[in-house]
Amino acid sequence: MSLEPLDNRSAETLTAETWQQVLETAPDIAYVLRPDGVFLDANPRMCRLLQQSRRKLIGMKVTSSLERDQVALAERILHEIAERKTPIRSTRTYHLASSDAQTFEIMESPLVRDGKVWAIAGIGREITQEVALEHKLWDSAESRQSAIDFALRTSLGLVKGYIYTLGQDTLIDAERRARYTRIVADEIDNLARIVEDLLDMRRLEGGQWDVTADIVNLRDCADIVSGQCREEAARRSIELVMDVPAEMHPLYVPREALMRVLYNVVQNGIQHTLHSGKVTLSVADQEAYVEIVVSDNGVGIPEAELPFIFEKYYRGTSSAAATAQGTGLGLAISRLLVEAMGGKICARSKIGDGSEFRIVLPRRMIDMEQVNETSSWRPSSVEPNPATCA
Amino acid sequence: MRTTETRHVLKAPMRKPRVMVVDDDPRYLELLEVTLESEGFDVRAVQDPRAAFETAAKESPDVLVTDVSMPELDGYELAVRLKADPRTVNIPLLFLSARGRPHERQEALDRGAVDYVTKPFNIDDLVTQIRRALDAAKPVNASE
Repeated sequence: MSLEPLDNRSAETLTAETWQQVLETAPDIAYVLRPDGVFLDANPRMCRLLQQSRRKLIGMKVTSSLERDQVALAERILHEIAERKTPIRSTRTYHLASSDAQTFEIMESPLVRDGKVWAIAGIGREITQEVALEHKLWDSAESRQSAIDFALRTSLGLVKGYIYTLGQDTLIDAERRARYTRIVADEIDNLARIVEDLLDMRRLEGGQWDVTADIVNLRDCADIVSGQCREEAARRSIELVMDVPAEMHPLYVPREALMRVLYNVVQNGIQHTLHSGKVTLSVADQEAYVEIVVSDNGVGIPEAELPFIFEKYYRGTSSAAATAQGTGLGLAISRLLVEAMGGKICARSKIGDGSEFRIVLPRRMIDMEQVNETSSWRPSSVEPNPATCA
Repeated sequence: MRTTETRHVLKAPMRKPRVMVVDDDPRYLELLEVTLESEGFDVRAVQDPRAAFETAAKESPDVLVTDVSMPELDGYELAVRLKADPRTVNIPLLFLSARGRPHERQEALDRGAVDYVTKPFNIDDLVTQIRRALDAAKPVNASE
């Protein structure tokens, strides 16, 4: 709902009708001021807001209940309205000691008589909730961005420090040398993953991911992904099982995209599975589609978090998620790629039992070229995903 | 000539400066321990930040270097405890953090830190900061 300025013609005089009009057009607060900001009248909501009776309010200055930093701005606005005889829209926050701050979107209009502004009528809509939400969204975007900074800085610090130490020959024995080399190698892998995630996301958001379909052998793809993840799985003593039928119908999808999805989802499973767990990738080859299920017996995802796991930069809140490496981009990238292939990805999970990610891909991306031309597949806007397996 | 000089040094033996490092990440802890020891410091490494305050109160290190983001007790909370206790209030405090935003640095300095070093850091720079903190904390007319 938008605030309309008061019609100047009907605002010529502050008659009972004009005041009625002010009240009627006000979603929340309404008042009339002298050009110098002194209240002539106010509706009950405005009186409640300023914690004054109507009688006491009349004669008070509108700026007397504002925070100091808002006073000058309010005075300038009133001055402008009177000088230029034009309505001005603004935002004002009232912060009274005994209550929380309330923010209003305000439209103040001049009331003109004989060519002179003799009063100013104000109406306002409360936007406290919207403002709070905006701050919250901004805060979470900020904290997500800083999660990536943090991951990069932590890894870089270890690489830099241990390379320095390895260079000081006299400092360390053979056992330490081997261990430090391992730390550096692991952190470089981690950095490479972060960089790859960021580049993937940029390519996807720029609509630059090549989605030309190839004839894909899913079993080969699964084997390659298994090879890429084996080392990390072994290090955490996690068993990696690839259960893909030897004979399958041909699948027509972009190979690179499919590989990336499989890698990301399997990696996610490994990251969220405790020592000695198990991550399984199994494939069901159906007539019209292929169903890929990646399941783990890891820590599981709280139900409340399921709707968010495919969102950019989302990282779980569990302690396992906090220590898991990565950027929180892997699943978001996977979802965008799966959808670009005309498929669907969803998840279900039980705390303590593990999680299951199900990817359903059409065997042939028949309409892919068409979709690509209109570029409407560009997944730049991520709609909330129900994320639960139907 | 040389002997005289040596004797002079021996008369006032230089005690190794004692540095306490606190980091919940064992990889950083070991890195700091190894590198700072090689730079001539006597290093006390503490992985559990909850134990850091008591250890500092008991051992009075010459300088304390702590990570900021630690799940059980973060570096800022540790700083508040250290600054609130007369036994630890004068220990120069350096933060080491992977968070590099300007307001985070300011937040650290507001909590009484003498400096805020961001990861990734140069060992040489860290050593310089530690020595600077030690010099600043030295009493003007040390009788020792």
